[in-house]
Amino acid sequence: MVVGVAADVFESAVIIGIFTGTIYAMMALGIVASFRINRVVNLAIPGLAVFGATIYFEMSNVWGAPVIVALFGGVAVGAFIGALLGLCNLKMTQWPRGFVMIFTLTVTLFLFGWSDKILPPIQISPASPFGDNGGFKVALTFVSNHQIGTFVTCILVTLLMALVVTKTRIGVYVRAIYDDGDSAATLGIPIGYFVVGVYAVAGALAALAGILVSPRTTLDPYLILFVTIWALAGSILGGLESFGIAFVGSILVGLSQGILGGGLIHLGPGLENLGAIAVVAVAVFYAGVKRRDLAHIQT
Amino acid sequence: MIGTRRNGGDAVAENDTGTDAGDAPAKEKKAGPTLPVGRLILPALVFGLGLAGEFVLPNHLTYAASTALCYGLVGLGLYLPLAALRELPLNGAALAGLSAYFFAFHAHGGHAGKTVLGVLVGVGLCTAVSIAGGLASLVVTGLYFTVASLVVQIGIEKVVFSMGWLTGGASGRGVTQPDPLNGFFTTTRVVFGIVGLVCLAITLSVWRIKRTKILSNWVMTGHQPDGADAVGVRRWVQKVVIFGLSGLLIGVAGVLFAFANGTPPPPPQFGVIWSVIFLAIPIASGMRTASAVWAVAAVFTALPIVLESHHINPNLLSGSILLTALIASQSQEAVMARIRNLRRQPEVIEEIALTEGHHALEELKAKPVVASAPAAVKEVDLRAPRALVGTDIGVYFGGVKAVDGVNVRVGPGQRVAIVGANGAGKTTLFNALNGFVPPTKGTVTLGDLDITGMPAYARIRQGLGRTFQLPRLADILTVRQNVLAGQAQGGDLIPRAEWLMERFGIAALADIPIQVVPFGTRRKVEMVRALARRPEVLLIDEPVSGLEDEEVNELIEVMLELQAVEGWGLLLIEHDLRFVTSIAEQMMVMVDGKVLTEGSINDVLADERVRQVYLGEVVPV
Repeated sequence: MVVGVAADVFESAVIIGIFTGTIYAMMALGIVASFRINRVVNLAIPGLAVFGATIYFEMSNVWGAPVIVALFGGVAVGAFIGALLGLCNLKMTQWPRGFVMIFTLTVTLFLFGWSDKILPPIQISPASPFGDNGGFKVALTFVSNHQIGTFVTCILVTLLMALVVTKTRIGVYVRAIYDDGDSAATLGIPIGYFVVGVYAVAGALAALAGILVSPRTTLDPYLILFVTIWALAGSILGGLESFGIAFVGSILVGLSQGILGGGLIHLGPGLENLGAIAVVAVAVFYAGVKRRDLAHIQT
Repeated sequence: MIGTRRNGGDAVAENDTGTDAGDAPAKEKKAGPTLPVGRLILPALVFGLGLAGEFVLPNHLTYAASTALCYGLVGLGLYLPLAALRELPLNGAALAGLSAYFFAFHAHGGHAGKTVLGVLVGVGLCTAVSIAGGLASLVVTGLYFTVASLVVQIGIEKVVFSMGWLTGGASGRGVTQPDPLNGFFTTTRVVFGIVGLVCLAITLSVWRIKRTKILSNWVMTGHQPDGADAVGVRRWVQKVVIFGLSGLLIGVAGVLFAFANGTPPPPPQFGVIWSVIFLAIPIASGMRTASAVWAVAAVFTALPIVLESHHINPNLLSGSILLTALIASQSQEAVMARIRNLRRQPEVIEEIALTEGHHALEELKAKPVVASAPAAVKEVDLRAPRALVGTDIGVYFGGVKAVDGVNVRVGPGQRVAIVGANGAGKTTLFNALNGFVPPTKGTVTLGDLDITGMPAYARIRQGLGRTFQLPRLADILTVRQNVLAGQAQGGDLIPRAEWLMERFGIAALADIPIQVVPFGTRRKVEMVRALARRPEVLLIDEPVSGLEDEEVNELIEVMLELQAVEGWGLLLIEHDLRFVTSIAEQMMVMVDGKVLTEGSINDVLADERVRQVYLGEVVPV
């Protein structure tokens, strides 16, 4: 009996972990996309996610637009701001990458500020694009249509991005720019268009992530900021270069939160995060050491 | 009489040796450096603002000024790893919070003893966490270090700051503040006075540290890690010291936050956004001077107060401050970039050299060539050179055998050249001998000492010298600072370094930043740096690539003269056969990680297979 309950609790923790990880993975895809073009960690992702979700909320809840129209509206705004950010990046080629990363964080602060101005003061959750009702129970956990929709969307987007990068000429160009921008330019690849384009895609992905995350977390910018930090950890596992590994890494981070958090919360408040933080710390350390060793061999 | 000049901050050494250039004109003893008046304006302004805070500002603004000092102190703490090591730590706020809460936890409602305990625990914990970060930065650097520090920030924020017993809940734990002295010197003013004095003392200490030789080692560690190893700097020690100091300053700031506020600020004040804002302070200051850090902190604190009546969204305000900081810092970079462009204009370099070192150049031109160092310079090193022997050296990268079973020996006074096509494994062999790459198999000995397991810096200290294909010099240091980096560990070799700079004709450029000197001069600087430590065996990698014919001839002349007098062994890699045949006695030809042939220069050059290698033909080894 006790074993049965424990198994159910574990199954629930796994299910919660997977769906939490899916949310991180959506964010991680945007981070990986922009890193793959100019090696900058795009910390504008949380801002783009919140602002995309804000536009989605305004269009669907305030203006009364159909959910699908609002979804495309939010994603389009994310892509537009992402493209502008890409343009700014082109102007900052002489800046140290760390400073460009800090610049992307200022974009997040601005987008948070504008979202604060647009949204009502009381925290709200927008409607899910997959419907607010419906779902089924697995073990002790109710799995909603929104979670299933998010999971499927995330897998489809991951596959699409991986296919584009590995199987198309666009992917070859993106890889060439990532490896050596100057050499790519000598081959006639229009670097500017690609940087702006990839940042637009990253912006669209971030906005989509925000739209899919916000029905579960409300539109609180700081909650989404933390979601992005976990997503960053997930994408670091893949060296910020692989969509597939970023997806798997994000799921692992979510799983570690789901499984370890349930056990550690009894030790005291805040400690439910300890397990996930430890997993993330080890992952970052491992990825950093691996990167250093590779650099040494190349030297 | 030969005088070894030391400009830019050190004393002048004069040697009455009566040798070599005894008829050279006596040099006037130069006075120590004078601080330009222009550089005193900002510190004076900052100090004046501090005094104004104490005596002129209204009471509530005096509190804001205390907060500004705390911000500045965190900024100063982050400035050290940022400027010296080029690492971006995104956990300044969490460390300050850690210190503030542990300080308040112990000092809460207690007597002086408990307050001291609180300071020790708070600052000590903060310093320990920071040192751990410094040790981690030995293996995780750059972007990964930044992300790792972000994880530490989130960890402390989510776990430690969630503990009500530590933070004291919503009301926080009160900290004892001093009583008012009179109606004007309220508690707030007295607190500001104490905080100001602490910050002044710390600023003076940082300023003093920056004027020591330690600075060169710090910068070399962060900007050119291999260069630091090549001068025997223990990088882990430098990192521990820098991060320890950084943690100490941030820890003190955390304590002062709680002290100035009467209770530690709530956890959101130590959140990730604040870490970014704290990091923006040194970035906006341009990472040049400590005074600029305080000035930026004052502006960061003043802006929200000035704009308070406009009800600007805090995120928009923070974003604006951050953006302004970045643009300000990068504008300074643009100015520096213009200076860097100067190096493409040799006539300008000549102009600088003539302006700053006219006398030295003239003396060098007038002075006869001096083969050996003055007596006082020779005395600094009495080591007898030993032989460097590599036995059965193998370096494998996965399935690739970059070096496979190579034996090499360089005895005292010997000159051995390694030649071979690109990718033959020459530099990898160098790296294995020097400790930059651990050999997969084989042993390396210096005399009777097995140095196979030693890290690179320790081998340098044992007596190896090294230069690189591309000079590994720190751009922001001057020629002299680059040459003298690591000298603190190597005893007093400064007179020898100064003499070598003159001997190689770069003394006139000694106080010019490396970033504006031409490539050929950089090669000479690196050569002087390696020779200054009086190596027993010198390993030089493609020393003449990028040099003019005249410079190559000078280099050959100087190297042969020095080696004849001092007797060190020389192992070199070079593609220029004219240089190789002019300087080396023995030659080793490498192909695909193995030795094709070796022996005297004439024998090797007569080997048909060597000619085939140079003509690009495949030769079985």
